[in-house]
Amino acid sequence: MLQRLRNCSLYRQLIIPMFGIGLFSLLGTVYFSNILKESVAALDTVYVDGDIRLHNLEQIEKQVTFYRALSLRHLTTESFSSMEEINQQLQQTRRKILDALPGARTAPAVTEQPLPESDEYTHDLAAALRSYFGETGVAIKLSAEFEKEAAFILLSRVESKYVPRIMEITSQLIRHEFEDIAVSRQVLMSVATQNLYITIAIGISGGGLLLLIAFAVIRGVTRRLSRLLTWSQAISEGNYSVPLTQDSSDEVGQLTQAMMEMADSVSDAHGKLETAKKNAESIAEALQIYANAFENSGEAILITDRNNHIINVNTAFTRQTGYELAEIAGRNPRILSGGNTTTGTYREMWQALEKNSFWQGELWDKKKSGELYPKWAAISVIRDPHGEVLFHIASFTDISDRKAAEARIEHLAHYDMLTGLLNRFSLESRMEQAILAAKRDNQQLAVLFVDLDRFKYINDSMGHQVGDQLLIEVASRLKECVRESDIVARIGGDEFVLVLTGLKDTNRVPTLAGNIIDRISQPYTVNDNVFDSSPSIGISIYPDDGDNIDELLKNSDIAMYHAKNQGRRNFQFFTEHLLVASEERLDFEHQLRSALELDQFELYYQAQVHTQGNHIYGMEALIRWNHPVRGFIGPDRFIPIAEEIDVIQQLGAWVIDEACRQLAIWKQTTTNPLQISVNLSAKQLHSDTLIETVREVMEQHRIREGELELEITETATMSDPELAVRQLNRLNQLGVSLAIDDFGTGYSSLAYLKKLPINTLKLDRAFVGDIENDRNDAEICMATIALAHNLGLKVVAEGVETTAQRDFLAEHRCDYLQGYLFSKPVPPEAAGALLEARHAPRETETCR
Amino acid sequence: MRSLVSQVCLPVLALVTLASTYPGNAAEITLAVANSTCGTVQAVGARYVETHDIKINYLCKSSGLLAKGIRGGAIQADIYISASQRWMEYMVKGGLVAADKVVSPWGNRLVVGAPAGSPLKLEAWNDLTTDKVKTILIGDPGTAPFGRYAKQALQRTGIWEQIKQKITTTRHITLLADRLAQSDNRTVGILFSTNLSDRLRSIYPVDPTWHPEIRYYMAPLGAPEAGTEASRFFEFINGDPGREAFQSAGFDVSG
Repeated sequence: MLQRLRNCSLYRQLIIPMFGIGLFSLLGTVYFSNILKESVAALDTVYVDGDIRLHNLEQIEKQVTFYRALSLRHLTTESFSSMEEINQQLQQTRRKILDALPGARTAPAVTEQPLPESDEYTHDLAAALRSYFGETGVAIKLSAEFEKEAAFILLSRVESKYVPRIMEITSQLIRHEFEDIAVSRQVLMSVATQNLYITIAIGISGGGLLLLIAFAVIRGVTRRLSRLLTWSQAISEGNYSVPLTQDSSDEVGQLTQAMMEMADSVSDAHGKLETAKKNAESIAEALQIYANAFENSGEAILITDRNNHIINVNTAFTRQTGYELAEIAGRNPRILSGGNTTTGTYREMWQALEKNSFWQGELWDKKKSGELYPKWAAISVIRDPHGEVLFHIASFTDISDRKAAEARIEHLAHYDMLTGLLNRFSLESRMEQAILAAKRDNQQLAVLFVDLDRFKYINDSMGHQVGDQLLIEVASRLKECVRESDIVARIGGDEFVLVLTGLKDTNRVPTLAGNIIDRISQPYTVNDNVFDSSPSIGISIYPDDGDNIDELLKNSDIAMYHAKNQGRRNFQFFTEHLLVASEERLDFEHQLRSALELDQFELYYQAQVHTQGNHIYGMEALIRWNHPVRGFIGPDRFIPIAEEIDVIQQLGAWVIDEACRQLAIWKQTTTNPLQISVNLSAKQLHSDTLIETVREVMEQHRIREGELELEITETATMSDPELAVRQLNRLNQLGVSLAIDDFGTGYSSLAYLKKLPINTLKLDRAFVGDIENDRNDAEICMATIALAHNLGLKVVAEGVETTAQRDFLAEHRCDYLQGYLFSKPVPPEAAGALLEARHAPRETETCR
Repeated sequence: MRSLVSQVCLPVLALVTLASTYPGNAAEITLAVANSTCGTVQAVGARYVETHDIKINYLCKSSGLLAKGIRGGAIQADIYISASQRWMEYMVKGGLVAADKVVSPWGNRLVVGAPAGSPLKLEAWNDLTTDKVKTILIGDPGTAPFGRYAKQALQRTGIWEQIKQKITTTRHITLLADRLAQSDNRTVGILFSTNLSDRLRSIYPVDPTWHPEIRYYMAPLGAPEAGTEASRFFEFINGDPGREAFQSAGFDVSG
């Protein structure tokens, strides 16, 4: 095969493989760049589609809540025409929800697994919603027939059957959506990177092969030509006995043959000079072919003489550089140099040419237009048999495109996509260099950990696009605050890290931190919204606060949290005693363990009044910790910790005992019936000593049936419903009244509560607080009251603070009220005084 | 369990609590009374108190709400009076009332009423479907028996679907009577004839064959011993004094 190729003409030897390979690489490159472009476009689509789907899911969540409120409103409406209006709204809402349902997903072509789990959820959601609407429709129809009773029962069953499921699937879908986007992005990124590599590989291997072939052919021809030259010199010196073997039948072979014949003729007679002349002509012809190959090569080729003066360039060269032969003939190729190639590279090049007569590598050259571009150069030195340089041949490939792609990948790996700042990875490598430099020069570094206050709030309330714009703006402001040589990175959500390098001392750091706070706290304008944000900054110093990256970052993070605790919008330097703060929690736990023995707990009492008549029927006992150093500590602070470290049983038993003891005292002085309520935590409810504790306390203080009420939260009953029902039934047998606290905050439905032996529902203060502002909350409030009455339960509204709330609740026949409007929690003596007066004082508008 | 507790403990507890609250009175009983009989029962009670040292509390609500309240433990009472058999059966099933103690001494009639000053006239029952009548007030069929009877009559005569859009419900009969009295000339209400006050007048009597017979049902709650205050009053109201009062208030006492 190779032999057959060598027998072809030089023109074919060069052109056939070159053309074939050139075409192949060109097609390959075009094909894969096209795929690359598609991947990038697909990546874009993933983000946009993801956004739309997320928005729709959030819309569904909101509309389902509205739909629930509407259906409850329908049930509490007495006139048919009002019901008709509500029914139309219901249908509109239902259409809105069904329209917003995620459709069949069009997964991007490159994502081979379209996450079938997510599709299943979508399908489930649609099915759950349709069944929910269908069955709610039946309840609405009953309601329209004025069969409110049956409608209530059906609706509460339908709600408990579908609503938690719908909410769960929706939040699952939202979570999946986020995962989807991340997965698709990863897949697309890896496909894009792979394509890029393939494109580059094809480009390089194609170019390399071309060079290799050109080189091999040229090398073969020149070697044979120089052998022929040596031979013909010998002949011309009259030495006809020199042997010559040439084994190919191409032009060079023919030339050899002719020369051999010429030599024969010369040896015979000068008379055959004419023949020799003819043979010389065919040599010229061969050279002409060679020149054509040179001229038409796709590679830019440049030839210089032994003194490195340009003697020829081809058209591809002119195309690449813009120089015509006439402009540069006789000049040194140095004029092409762009100045970006290091002198080391040139030195290496000349050494290789000297030693191996060949060099290839990357050069930065300048076009005639002045534009700098990178190119791949292959240079051969052609020598005579004595090793003297005859000329240089150089061929060039423009590799600007490949370079640009490499730079893009480099950028992605090292910079944050959103803000263009360094990412965590390159922050660490830059910090490593900065630490080394500081160590060497005996200088200091300041690491500033910047966290935006309220960023999550802005992101949640105004949308993440606004959040992203804010981050971009913050990034640019941060960059303006520091020198070019300092490091600015974003390492997560709203967390930025600044490293001030090469500091002789840290005197100026506080001023700079102050500047940053002022600058970041200036108002932001995004999409016509103007809003404020501010940073909290923690600062650690190398080498004082740590001599490695992890320690410096950790300590600046600790200092940042300290800044947050100090009220945000300030900066704090790391100090050793911040480390101590985390040890304080241990101390707190220890104090909590001994607080009971030291008698540091107190019960306060808040009055509960009849809606009609305003007189007190009960007191809720609320625990406070009277800490010798910190003063009063509320239960929100220590109850979760007490649950964690298992002192809740003792503490809970103490509260029940103390509250009942107090009740026994009050019963001696007042003749009015009185109930005392005590909160029960989830852990207490599940404790096996609870029943015994309650029984003993009731016996000891002679507490009668209905006088002690225990309050549990919805969620406490849900973790282990069977155990909860068992415990509650036993409490019920003891004559303890049971209440559900914070009702309305969980997902439980009245149908579920029906299974529990409870007597009272406590409407959560969140609903009560929004009665005046939020129509939906007001309606849920009033429907809950109606439904609770339907189940024979009493309703207590918590957190009543205004007369408007009281009037609303009275109008909708809420049984009992509790809140600042009547009395705040007070010590036992003050509570006793209230009881004697029987009526809670009306601390109306004046207390607000 | 809960019913046992309320049967045994609640009356005892109530007595103990009341004894301490009202030291002067010997006893106290509570009556859970269907709204439509409220006034008459109070009249009977007033006569009883004249001769007995006792305090009587009245809880007047719709029969269904009372039944549910008693069964759920939110309401405690000694005697329950229902305006329909359905809610009394509900109590019997709940074990709160002994089936053999239930009596049904009185009945009632439904009429179409209008404000006293209204010139509206109904020539026939089907006039309810005409433009003369814009709004029809009835009781909530779910909890108020007079509403259930009204719906049954409207369905039986085949005009329910035609007049449905004119319907507005109320929770109990006194509320309906109040609202009707303040209404315009194109509003009517369907209510017991005994609840027509001087601010209302009957414009059409409802044919009693269109709905089940309207009977009241009364029973003592739990199992009170003979000779207690509650059982003595039960006999009083179930006997002649009660019959006279109900007859003069317009109830049907023939049953």
